[in-house]
Amino acid sequence: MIDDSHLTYLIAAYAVVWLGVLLYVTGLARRSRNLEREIDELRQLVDKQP
Amino acid sequence: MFAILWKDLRIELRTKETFAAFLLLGLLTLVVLSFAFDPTSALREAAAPGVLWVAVIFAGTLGMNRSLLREREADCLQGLLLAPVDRGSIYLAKTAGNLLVMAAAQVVLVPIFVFFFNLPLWLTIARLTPVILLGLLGFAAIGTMFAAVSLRTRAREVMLPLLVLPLAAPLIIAGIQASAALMAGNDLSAVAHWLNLLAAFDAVFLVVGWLAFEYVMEE
Amino acid sequence: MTASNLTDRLLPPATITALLGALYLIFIGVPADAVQGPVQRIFYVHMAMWLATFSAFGLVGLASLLYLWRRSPRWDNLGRASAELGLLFCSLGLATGCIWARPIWGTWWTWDPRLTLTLILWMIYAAYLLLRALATEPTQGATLAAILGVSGVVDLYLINRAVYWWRGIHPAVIVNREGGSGLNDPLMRVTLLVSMLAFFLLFLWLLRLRLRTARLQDAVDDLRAQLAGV
Repeated sequence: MIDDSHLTYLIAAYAVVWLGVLLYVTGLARRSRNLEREIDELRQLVDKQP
Repeated sequence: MFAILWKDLRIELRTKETFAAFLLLGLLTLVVLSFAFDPTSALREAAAPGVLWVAVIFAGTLGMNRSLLREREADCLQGLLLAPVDRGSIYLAKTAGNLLVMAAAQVVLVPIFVFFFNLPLWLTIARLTPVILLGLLGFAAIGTMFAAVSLRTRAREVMLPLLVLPLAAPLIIAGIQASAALMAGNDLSAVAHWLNLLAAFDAVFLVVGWLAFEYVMEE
Repeated sequence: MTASNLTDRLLPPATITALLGALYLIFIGVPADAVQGPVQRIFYVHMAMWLATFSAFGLVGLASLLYLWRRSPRWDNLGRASAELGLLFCSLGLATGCIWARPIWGTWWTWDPRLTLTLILWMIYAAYLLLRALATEPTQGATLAAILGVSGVVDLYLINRAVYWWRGIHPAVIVNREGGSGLNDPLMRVTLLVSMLAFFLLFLWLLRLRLRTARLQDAVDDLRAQLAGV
């Protein structure tokens, strides 16, 4: 039952968790940056209004 | 509430549209699935309860979608909403309507199922009736509510099964397990915990639907 | 310093510390399981995923209820953010479960009641997010999603009870009333707790980040409305 090839599974499991969280956070950061940029652009447009 | 129910039933008796939909779709599913299993294999017998419930669910999902869609098109819903009727009652009436039509379809489908699968006729019907009724009640409760929800989205036809099936899954599982046990010869007391689950599930979703229908209907 | 600022300052370092602590315990501190060998260490993160998932979806239920009651966009945002995170952790929970199952049970998946209901849980909340995307109008979408959010809690409850009602192949750890966690070694129990705590903190941190993004989105929408209204 105890088999060293199982170590691959162990590593895979933790890699998956790490990757999953990382991808989510990166996506979130990117979206945040885009939104902040958009806010700046929109604010400029609003300020231009009479 | 009974007035609404009566009105729905009268329309149904005249057009028989939804009933026909349930019946035909259920029949179609039974036939197709019966083909899938080699008549001599033991697998066929084991799969029987599953086949019945798949037919019920499939027909039920599509049938309920049709019925609410038709209603929306005829703008009956608008008229109903203008009337000083408690939203919750509308929900209960519609659920009861759906339940009765589905049950009526089952009256035809279950004997056909029995013939296809070579089961003892009256015995099977007697044993399965309580389970099927409990299952249909829960399914009607969830389906009526989420059919209304789906109507307010852009992908109506796709949305209904997507919403109803995961939520109704415990119902389906319980129904199939109970049916399988009953068909294998156990009596009702043996499947009591399944029936309790079904009843509790029905109660929960009827209450949720009754309370939440108002929110769905607001413009 | 407001409570909110305090949370923002404390949460990240607390989370990181907890995570590092958990990792240390999981890989170095705790002894290997006698029966399953090193693969068993997946258990600690697997369980942590489920605590996060249940917390997240439970929060969705609560936020949905509050939204239907109070109609504040704050609850709507909380519901959506929680659902996203719940879906993330649920996916990771299912993934780690499969990866663990393969060497131990010999199969990637089984239709054990608890697993089946959990898969269904995933589908319910995926539908929740889809419902929002497909609604004809945002407020309507929020309301409809809230109804689904409340309904989904039923499945959460069932998953919890499933192991009592059915007998399945899923290990009964954490489940039996008398035996507690089923773990013998106290160090294992500590590791489990630390692990669950660490990922719970991570969940909270990610939730705050997600809510911040939601507020940015709201600001964008407001600005656009302002521009259009003029």
